[in-house]
Amino acid sequence: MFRPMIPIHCVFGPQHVEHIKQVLVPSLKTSRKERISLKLVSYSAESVGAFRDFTPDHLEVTEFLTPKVRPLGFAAGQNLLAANSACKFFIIINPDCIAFPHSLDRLIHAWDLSSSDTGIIEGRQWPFAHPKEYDPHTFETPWASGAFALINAEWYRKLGGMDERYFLYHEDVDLSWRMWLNGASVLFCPAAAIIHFSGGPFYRDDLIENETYYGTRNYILILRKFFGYAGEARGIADVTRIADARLVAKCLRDIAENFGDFKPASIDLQNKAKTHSKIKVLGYNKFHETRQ
Amino acid sequence: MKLHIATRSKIAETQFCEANPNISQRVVFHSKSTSLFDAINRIIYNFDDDIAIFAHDDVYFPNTLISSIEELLTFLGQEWPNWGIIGNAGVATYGFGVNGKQIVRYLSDSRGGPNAQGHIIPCQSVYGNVMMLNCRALREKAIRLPHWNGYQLYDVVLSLQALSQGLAVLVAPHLACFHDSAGNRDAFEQAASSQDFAAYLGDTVANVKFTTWNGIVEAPYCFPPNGFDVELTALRRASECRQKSTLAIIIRSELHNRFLLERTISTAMAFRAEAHEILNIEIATISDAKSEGWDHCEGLVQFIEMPLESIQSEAGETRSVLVSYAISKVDADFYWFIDEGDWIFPNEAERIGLTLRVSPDSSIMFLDTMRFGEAFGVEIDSCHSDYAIEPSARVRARDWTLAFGGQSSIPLSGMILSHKVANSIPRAILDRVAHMENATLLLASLFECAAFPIVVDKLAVGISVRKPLKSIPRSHGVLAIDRTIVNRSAAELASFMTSRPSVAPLYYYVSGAPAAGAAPYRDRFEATREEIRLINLKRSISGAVSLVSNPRRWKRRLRELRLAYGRAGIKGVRRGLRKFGLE
Repeated sequence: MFRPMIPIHCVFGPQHVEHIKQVLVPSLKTSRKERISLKLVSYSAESVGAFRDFTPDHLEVTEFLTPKVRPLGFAAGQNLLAANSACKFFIIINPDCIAFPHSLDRLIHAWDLSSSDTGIIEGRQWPFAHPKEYDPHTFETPWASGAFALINAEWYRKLGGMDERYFLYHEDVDLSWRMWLNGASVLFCPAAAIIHFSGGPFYRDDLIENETYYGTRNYILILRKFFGYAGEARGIADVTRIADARLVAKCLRDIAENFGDFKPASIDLQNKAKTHSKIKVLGYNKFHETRQ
Repeated sequence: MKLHIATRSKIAETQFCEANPNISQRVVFHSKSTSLFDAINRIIYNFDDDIAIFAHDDVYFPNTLISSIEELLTFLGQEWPNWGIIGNAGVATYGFGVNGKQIVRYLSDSRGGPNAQGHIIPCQSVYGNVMMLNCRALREKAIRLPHWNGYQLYDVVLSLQALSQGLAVLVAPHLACFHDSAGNRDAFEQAASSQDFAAYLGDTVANVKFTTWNGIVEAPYCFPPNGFDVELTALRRASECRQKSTLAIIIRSELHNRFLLERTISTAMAFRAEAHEILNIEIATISDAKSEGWDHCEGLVQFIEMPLESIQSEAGETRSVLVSYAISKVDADFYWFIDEGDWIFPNEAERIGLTLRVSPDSSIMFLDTMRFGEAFGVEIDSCHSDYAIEPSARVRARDWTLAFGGQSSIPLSGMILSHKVANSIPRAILDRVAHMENATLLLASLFECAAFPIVVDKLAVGISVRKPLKSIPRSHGVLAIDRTIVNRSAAELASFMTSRPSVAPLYYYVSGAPAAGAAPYRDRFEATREEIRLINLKRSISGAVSLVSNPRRWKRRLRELRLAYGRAGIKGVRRGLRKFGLE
């Protein structure tokens, strides 16, 4: 099947530049038979223009230098890249990943086999995989991580892209839920894997990690959005039970000061969310059953 | 160069001069100062000296202090030109030694003795009992302490100021002394919980807590953080102006599986990308198998093929021989061996790289590793749908001393050897030990050249434990069913450990005696306030009983108590009684 260059979208920072040049780009070359187009945008002003003169073989690299305002959130960066893409789908990948051989081919193959209402197909992360449930026959999963996923561009545009108000974390859960609630599906493709060294084993208890802060704040916000103020109250109760009291206080202050306009979704959508089999909230930042 | 002594009274001044007659002519006393912050500022700005020593009045220096300092200054100019403050005790930027803690002591006091020897060690903060100040550099950077009262935290704040302005904070054995004080934890905690200090920390550090000599300090919860990460910044400062070292990452391969080898290589490349500004990193693969047909891998990394005639392994296996052959072929400042199929986590590349850059040249670094059970399907391919992976046991770097019990504790990939250490290991022992080469290298590094053990308790390596498949030979390796080779290796290792006396005697490590200063230290930093109070009370009571029940020692002990009262009042008397209780 003839296909134009597959767009790969990546939001990066200054600490990722060498890794992208020396490791990610070579790995992408072995992950896909045909040429791919890597589109980049920096979330930090410091690394804008880092790929201006970077022209590897067998791979087209484009860096978007706008907008002027930074730091960019993850969702804002992805929305910018998606707005400049004309393909039927695009693949998003984190800047600290390494693609396994044939992983892009396998993700695209899963897309070729899927139906037109497939919204997102997530690839596997290695070695620390999300222990998320997925149906072994349909490969449906409640939500898809934004570290490595193929996204249906048409659905993405229909839903208005990712919600930029989160800034970091939970945009992927939010997008996945909106896909489900509007009739699209979210799938998992275990055969398409990337190396992604991130997460808990490396966090320090003497520093406040981005994931810790935004993960806590945005948990409350996403429950407000999809379950109303009752959902928000439940979110606050959940984080109060588990998280550091100072962290909770800081998050609540942030929400009170900056998220007055972050309103719940329509009552109709909230009701759908409460009864949808794929929209799950099983605890603090637990949106899935654990896969055995 | 002058010695600036903070004294509490005229008696204390006299006692200091009597205790340190060799240096009394260089001394400037800062008497009855209510603020050591102001005293430090005066030392930096009111005197023209480029270098100054600050010390407490209850410090006893060796006679060789001045000559030691002169030697130190010469060394600093070459090796640590951006130094700001040097102490004789503090919180290091890395763990070391038997217990892997970050507290370094080049002094004796009531808590114990020294716990390190001979090396200049970068620190996050120093203990202010003795400090050498680079006044010129501190003036150039306009470092000035806030005008706070009291005798606590000046050392912490000065250390943080130096780090924030680009200067290194170090400890050196040249400033070793005896400090006749145990500190005052109550006063420290009161000062550490003050609003002024909290505001200062909120503007200065990104950490929500960090370790100081007197205990853990909590900082305000700020997000996004306003300041710098104390630990990594201290490492960065210390590594500036240091030579950029070369690290050789050497991958042992049997050339059985291209996917596994490429996986390992790609993670090594990721590590190199993260640390490329800190270290020169070479990646090589070594094998005793022929490399024809492995062109793709050869294009990525240097390929070392060990010819069969180089193998003189009595054990009939080449795992250990590959190590010694690689060391002989690759010239690098540090060596890191990884097995094909395992992988390197690049997340702590900066910390590891900086620590290597500031480590002594006879060091061995231990890192955390984690086992992962991997179940492959039909093919060895992480991407296959049947593939499963599960994290398993984490092997802690601080458990490196288990090797003394003959256990293979730290895997080979959990160690980085310096050039000096790697080349001091006798080839003969690696020829005889087919397995347990990790324990052999570890022990040999201590026995042959008294290697300095550095403990970095961060996850650096994933170890693949694969379910056996046809393509992975099970006739050898530590999982082999036939244990003959493994058991013979253990015999060779036991013989090596016991056959002759060495630089660092085995009995010192396995006797169960704590390293100097280690055991009392654990009480101090991990006990609660109540526990410390009880310990002190117990010691005071036993000291009082000891005083009363030994009439022959009354004269000497009463004189000691009188002197202690003169120096520090009732507190001094209590301290004296506790000392009697420990005798």
